[in-house]
Amino acid sequence: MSKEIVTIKGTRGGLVILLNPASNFEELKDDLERKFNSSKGFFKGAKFTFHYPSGSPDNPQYAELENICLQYGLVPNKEIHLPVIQPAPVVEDIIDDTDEPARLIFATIRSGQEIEAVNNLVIVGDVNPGARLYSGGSIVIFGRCLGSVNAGVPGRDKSTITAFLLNPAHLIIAGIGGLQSGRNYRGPAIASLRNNRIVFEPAAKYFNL
Amino acid sequence: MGEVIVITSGKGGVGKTTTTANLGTGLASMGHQVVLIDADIGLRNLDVLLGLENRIVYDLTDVIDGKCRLRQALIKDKRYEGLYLLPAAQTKDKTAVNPDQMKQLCEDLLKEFEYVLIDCPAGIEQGFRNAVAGAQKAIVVTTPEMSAVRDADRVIGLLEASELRKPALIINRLRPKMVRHGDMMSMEDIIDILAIELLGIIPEDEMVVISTNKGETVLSDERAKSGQAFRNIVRRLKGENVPLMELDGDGLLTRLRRFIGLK
Repeated sequence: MSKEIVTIKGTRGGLVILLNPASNFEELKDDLERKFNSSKGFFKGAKFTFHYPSGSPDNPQYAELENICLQYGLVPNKEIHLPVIQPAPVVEDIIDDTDEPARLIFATIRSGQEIEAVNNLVIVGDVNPGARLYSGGSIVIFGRCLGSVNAGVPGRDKSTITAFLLNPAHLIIAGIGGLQSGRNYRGPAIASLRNNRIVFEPAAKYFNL
Repeated sequence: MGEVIVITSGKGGVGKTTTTANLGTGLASMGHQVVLIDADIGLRNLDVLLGLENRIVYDLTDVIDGKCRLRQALIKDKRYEGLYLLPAAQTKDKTAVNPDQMKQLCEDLLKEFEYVLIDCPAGIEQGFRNAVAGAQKAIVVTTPEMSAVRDADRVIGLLEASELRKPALIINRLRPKMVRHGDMMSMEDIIDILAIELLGIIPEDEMVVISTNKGETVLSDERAKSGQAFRNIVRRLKGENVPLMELDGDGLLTRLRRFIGLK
């Protein structure tokens, strides 16, 4: 926090006057007047609001401070707010394990093409060599997977990658994995993460095929 | 109303220029008005394949810069009535032209020609963007090699992104014997990966080299198998339903006939 007794901040809407909660009323009053005096006329006509440290704005002492501002020609405006810094959204919050939407694409994904999905990704078509898929959740490919596939990007280690033919150049789940040469099941296969290792299994295990 | 067709591949040396020259002569031999544009500025070749290299006065960039009229830059073919070439500049590079200018050029040519075939340069940079800008249809040429197929795949993706949907595929230099022995990608393997309509297959043929050196097109060679393949493709381009020719070697009888000079 600023050590100043009174801090005047310019925002897009106007001025926000911050009061140091550690200072007493007399200090605040003196400092505010001193600031306005030192820059005569500069604040005239400016919109302002007080940012009260914690106490209620009904405190009559605050009204007195507002009066000082009015004397120096400032215009009160309650609409001004300090810009609030939004906390970065936590990815885990966006992805709901139980009821996830998926991005559905009907196309052959060709070399040089990249597909991204925040949650799950379903491709109806082949993923050719040189194509890249990024998914926040699982990837299901109704076709052959010969490109690079990256599932569970924010660290969701329950994500899986399924394809009719799973022979990707790269396969990464939740940051684990990499080059996958030589893996090739004849039928549909599922890749998942078990004990921090990529495991390939015939998909038939999961269906009554 | 005519058609602007771009012949492209991504990879170099797979036969874009040969294909362009053959399809052009094929269409012209059927009585169509055809113009071939060599969009490979700086590395022109189409003129050599047609045997017209000595006749170039003006080129594509001269037309675009307004140094000559379009009609002046068009070179009339020696053998085929109705076949014209708009050669590329040899002294400039791909940046000498922009896609909007190519679009305009194609529109102008469509007023006089039924088919405008554009020979696209290798690569996916400005030269490619120029060549595809004015096209309404695309033909992708590939050879049965993984590298060429991969590049074709990339190019198909780019064509789809630039609204040239459903490009047609020509597989060039296929060697049926090698395919039979499992040493070469088969037609099925390639179509499986690229997943686009097949326009035709051209077998590997020495005759292509011979005719190219003579400044002729193999299409006009009645005996050459590759010429037959090109003629079939031309008919398919016109909407005819021509079955794929049998590439799997000649029968004993045909070989015998050839031996005694009957064919």
